[in-house]
Amino acid sequence: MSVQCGTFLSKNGKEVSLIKKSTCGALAALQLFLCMHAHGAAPASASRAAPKAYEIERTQILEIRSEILKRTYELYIKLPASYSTDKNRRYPVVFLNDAQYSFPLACSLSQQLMNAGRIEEVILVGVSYAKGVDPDVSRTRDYTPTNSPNEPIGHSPEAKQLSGEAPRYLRFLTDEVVPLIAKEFRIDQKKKTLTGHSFGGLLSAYALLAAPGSFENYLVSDPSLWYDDEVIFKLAKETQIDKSRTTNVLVINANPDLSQRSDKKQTARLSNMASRGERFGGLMVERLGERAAWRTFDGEIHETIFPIALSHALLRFHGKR
Amino acid sequence: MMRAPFRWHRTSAEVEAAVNTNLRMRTILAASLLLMSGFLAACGQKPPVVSTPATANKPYELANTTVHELRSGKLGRHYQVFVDVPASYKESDKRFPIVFATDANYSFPLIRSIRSRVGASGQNIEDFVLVAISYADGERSATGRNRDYTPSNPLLDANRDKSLYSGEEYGQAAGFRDFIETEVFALVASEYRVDMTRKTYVGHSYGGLFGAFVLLTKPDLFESYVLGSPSLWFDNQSVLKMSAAVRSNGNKLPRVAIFAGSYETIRPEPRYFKKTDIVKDAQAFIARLKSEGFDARYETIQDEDHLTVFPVLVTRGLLWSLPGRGPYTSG
Repeated sequence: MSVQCGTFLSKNGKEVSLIKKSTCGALAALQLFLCMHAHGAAPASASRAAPKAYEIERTQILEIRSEILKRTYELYIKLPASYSTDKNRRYPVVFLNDAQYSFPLACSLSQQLMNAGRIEEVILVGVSYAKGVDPDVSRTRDYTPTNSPNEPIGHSPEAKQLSGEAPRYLRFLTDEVVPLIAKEFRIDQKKKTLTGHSFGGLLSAYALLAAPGSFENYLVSDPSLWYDDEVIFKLAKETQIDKSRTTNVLVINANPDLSQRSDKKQTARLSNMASRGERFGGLMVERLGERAAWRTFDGEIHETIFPIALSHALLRFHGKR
Repeated sequence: MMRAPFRWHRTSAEVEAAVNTNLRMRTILAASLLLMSGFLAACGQKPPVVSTPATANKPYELANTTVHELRSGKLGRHYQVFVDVPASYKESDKRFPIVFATDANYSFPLIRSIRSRVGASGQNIEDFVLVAISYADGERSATGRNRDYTPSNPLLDANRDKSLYSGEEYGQAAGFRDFIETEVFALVASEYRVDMTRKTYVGHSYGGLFGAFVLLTKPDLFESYVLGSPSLWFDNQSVLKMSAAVRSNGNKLPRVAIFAGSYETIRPEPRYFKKTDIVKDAQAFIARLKSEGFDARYETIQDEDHLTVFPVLVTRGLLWSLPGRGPYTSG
């Protein structure tokens, strides 16, 4: 709506900055009112316009109904600065799960690195939780590779009951999300990065074993490799990674300072998380050589590590030399 | 997907009619897509994945945020103030501490995500209201931060290193500081349930320089300062010569935490700085602040450079400035 609004206003030479960002749906009427108000009077004198929510620039939301999962998701897209002017250029794509958390963070991180010319310009695609579904249920169901209803840790019993749909979720990503993004935007199919943290990291690890080559780069951030009796290591043992295809892997682990902790069970799990991540990283280096790397950050915790992991992944996979 | 340019008509009636037509066309389009997919399904073909036209192109909005338009009478420029309230804001009637940030387009989404993840709903980091101040009038970031965040004008120095100063306007930090103190504070205090005696400033690079300038010239403006990689080198360290003449009588001095990435020092290897030593400058500044009685701490963040250090320093800075009710949990 409001792109149109902006066009309308600029034709008439009036200030557009207050309202040039887009909104839609129920806000359309208000927007129209503002447009006309701005057109009629001079809004610059008004110090406060009607408040609106913060919109991240150059973003848009696409809704996707998955035929594979029979569920609806939202894709959050951020286009790079040159996208609208460099009409023939194709861009690498970075996919993010747990997007409510990761997408705004990735927008800021990547923009900073792009502005400074440290990484190539990329398109970001965040995949939401299934619409109308509890986030914990959604991520447990979609990001775990096997059904494991009796896990001692993780989300709610209800979520655990539904776990194990990563194989189908991965097909949703490769067969529905990627083609839709390729259809709607100028993407470089040879430069696709899948990122994930925690259960999302487990998903990345699963994806690179189950569908190597579907993405060229995989970030595995503080992955939940304890899941289902370390099922990911069993899968790794059974799987050959096709070396003729480009598969770059970065495994990042947090190694919290546990000396202060009183909770022994939690402490054991947390220290094992880093060591499992290192084991998995080592395994990838064994298989893929220099295309794989792992790194552990001392003093960081599960909740603090993802921004660090993402910066490192962007620099490693999309850095300009 | 609505991407085609849309022609606007002159009168409001025509505008309204056009919008209605547009909406009707979307409905027809959506309906025909539905019909088509039904037809394809009937033919035994898999229907194409389509995005729903009615919701396409909506931008990504951050929940619980508000953009305030603020025309500064003092500066004669138009700013936007982005405000985020925590989930607990609605459920309580307490007054929340505030975190103020510069470089809003970068810092606002990032600080908000970090708070919601690390904060653990107040357990690790006390819930706060986040206030970020944009550049003015939709200007480029470099224009705004050169002018508003720097305390002096290096262009007056004929011997300056020209590679460091490509901007046209510098040195109006004092005006920007006073704008925040009067106009931004008034907006926030009148619109939100906040505790104006518990304000933290967070800034990075030139934003860190600006924080150092405020700290030295009007320390009482904030109770805590988180300065990331402050550009103290700016204009021959002009900020360090600014006097804290207005230091309050008997008021408690603010607390200060300064962070820098381990690559922000001078070395020949890649990622390191070649001209400016932010680590060394920060350490010297901390020593001075301590000698003047400030509660000041410094930390080098390993393996990060000027462009990647901010998320980590925000995490550590908030844990330091606004520790939660505990016990600390790491998931």
